[in-house]
Amino acid sequence: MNADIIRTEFYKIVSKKYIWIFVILFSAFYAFIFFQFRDNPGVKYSLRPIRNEIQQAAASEELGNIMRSKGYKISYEDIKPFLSSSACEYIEQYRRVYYHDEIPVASLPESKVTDKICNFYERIDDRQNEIQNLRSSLAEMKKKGKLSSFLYAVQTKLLGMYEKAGEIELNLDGWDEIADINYAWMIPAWTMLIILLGLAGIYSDEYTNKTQSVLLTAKNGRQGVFFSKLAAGILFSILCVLYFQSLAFAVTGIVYGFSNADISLMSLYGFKLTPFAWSALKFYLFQILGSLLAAFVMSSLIICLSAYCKNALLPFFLAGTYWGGTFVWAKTVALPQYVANPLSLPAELSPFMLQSITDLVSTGRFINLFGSAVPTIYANIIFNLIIAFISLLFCYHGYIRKQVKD
Amino acid sequence: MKLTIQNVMKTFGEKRAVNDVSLELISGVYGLLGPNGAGKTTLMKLIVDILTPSAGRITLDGVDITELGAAYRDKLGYMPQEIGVYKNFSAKKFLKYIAALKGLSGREAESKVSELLGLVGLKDVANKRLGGFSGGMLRRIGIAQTLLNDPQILILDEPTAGLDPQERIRFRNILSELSGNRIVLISTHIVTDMEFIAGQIILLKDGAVLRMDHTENLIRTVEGKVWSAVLTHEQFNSIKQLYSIGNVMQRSDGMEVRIISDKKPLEQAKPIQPILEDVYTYYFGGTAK
Ligand SMILES: Nc1ncnc2c1ncn2[C@@H]1O[C@H](COP(=O)(O)OP(=O)(O)O)[C@@H](O)[C@H]1O
Ligand SMILES: [Mg+2]
Repeated sequence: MNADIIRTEFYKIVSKKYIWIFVILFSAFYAFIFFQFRDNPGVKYSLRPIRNEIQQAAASEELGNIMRSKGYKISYEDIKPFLSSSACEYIEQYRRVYYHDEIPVASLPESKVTDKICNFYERIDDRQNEIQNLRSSLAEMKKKGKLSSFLYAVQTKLLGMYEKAGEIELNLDGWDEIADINYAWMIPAWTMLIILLGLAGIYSDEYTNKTQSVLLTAKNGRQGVFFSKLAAGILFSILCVLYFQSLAFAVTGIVYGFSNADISLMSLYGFKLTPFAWSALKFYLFQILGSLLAAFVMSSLIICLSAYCKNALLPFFLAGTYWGGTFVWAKTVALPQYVANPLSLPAELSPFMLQSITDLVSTGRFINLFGSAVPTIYANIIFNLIIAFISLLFCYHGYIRKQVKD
Repeated sequence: MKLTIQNVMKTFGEKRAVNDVSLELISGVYGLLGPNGAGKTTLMKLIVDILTPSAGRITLDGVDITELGAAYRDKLGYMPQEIGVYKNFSAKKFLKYIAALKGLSGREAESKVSELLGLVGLKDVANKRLGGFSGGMLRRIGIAQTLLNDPQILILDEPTAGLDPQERIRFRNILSELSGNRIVLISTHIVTDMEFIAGQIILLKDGAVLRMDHTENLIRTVEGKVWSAVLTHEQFNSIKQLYSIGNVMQRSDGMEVRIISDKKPLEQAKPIQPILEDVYTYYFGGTAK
């Protein structure tokens, strides 16, 4: 491997004009869609300046009891006595302002503050109920002597994770949108599309260009080219992931505001049942790592396919079908509670779910791996690493002994 | 240095593209002559190890070339019949890339590339995109590419196809400047290219070696078998059914025809001095050109 070769291999990938056209189009489209929300009253009239006051109000036992007695359906007027006068003033300042001449702006911060607090209690109770359910289910199974069942192992493990996981906090920090970046399909799909477009021809273009005989008869034209193409391909896919993640982070941050306080993951809207004791930031960083890993896996796969194909279309189509098929499946199939089944496995082990780990970590999900309960997210990582490993092995062996028949 | 090809065979399905070829190449220039489909390209691919023989083996100084691997490729310069390039690369960028593949360091590559661009007469367009190059210019890039690592084994598959007369002369000069202890194997179906370059000629037909000898010895084998006669159109038409015909030249008083025949073909035919082209016509049959 040599820096000059890697540089040239990288140049071959990025000198395709259509890649740049797609990147520019996608970026513009993404920014355009998101900046529509900029004017959204929820964004415009943020509760952030009165964060502390709301937190204090939410912490009150008394308000909690009122909340539960009313079935989590209370109004702003019920909360008002628990807020300071300056906070009320801030919330009510918009009472005579109209949004787009129709909706009174005032209702928005008022309902938002109510929602936040109600939801806070509701989620605490939901999580508590789930833990209670697990305990009674385990006790039930114990009574029936089903200690060796796989479900018993799963629930024991899950309960252990819940008990160590900490507590739900009031969710005021705007992590929801950042956490959702990959859950919405656009960023993962575009990242993958650009990677696949860029790498589909990495070997097959040498055939199309009739350059492969010269490569294959050069001293470093076999091992050297294999490792250089791999390095250039992985570098390219890493840059794709980082670019689209930065774009999404910047756009989301500009529209919804950047958050400087971290919060436990279970405090976010979709994650009340997560067994993982992660913070929102940790989740977000893991998701970027997952995206990088998924990019590496798909790059390895398409590089391998390209080494065996005489044009770039076939590897693009095959790898695209694999990613797209498992993606559609992941968005379609209803994931079963606790334990993956044969129907849900293609979704739960898909590269998309490595890019967007929300579904895998927002509740307790496990896979039966030789009788032990493994969190599906880890199984996904192992499975995908195996795919990458096998792809690279096949690619290496195929290319090192490659013959030029025609 | 001795490149040995031992009973090598290559089949594609039923087709025997190379059929039991055995050759021993030591330093010198070898011309591989044969009509289209004779198996020249296939034999060369076997020699440069981008095809694996169906039977037999190829060794360099006794060691199998597949075993030598990178060490063998390090000695190799190969110009495929169809040379490809990256259209969006400049000539210089392309050659520097191949130089890196051949293991040259950045500095070595820099000087070698500009030296070779000068040698093939493309210095002025060094920074131009290869997409705009003519076929002849691309062939010259192909020749430059093979020489980057100063190869000891040079395998050139129809290097002169598509070159104009001037470029052919330049190519011949480049080859004669390549001094010393090298094995150079050049395939062609254009015989005149080989006359002055090749020390030895290998005649390949239907995948098998018909003959291999020094050029002058081969020419000697057709001595007394080459005739010249001036013929009318009707005479020519009947003669060409019976004999192999070499060069035909239009003259005011008819057609001057080169006839290859063991016996005197016609009363007015005169024996003439053979050239390499007559060897080709003798072994592969000629058609009026
Ligand atoms: N990949 C292949 N598959 C099938 N037949 C082939 C292949 N390559 C070459 N051949 C056949 O082998 C014979 C020799 O071809 P080739 O080596 O290209 O001859 P030459 O270079 O002398 O024109 C031809 O009949 C050709 O059709
Ligand atoms: Mg050929």
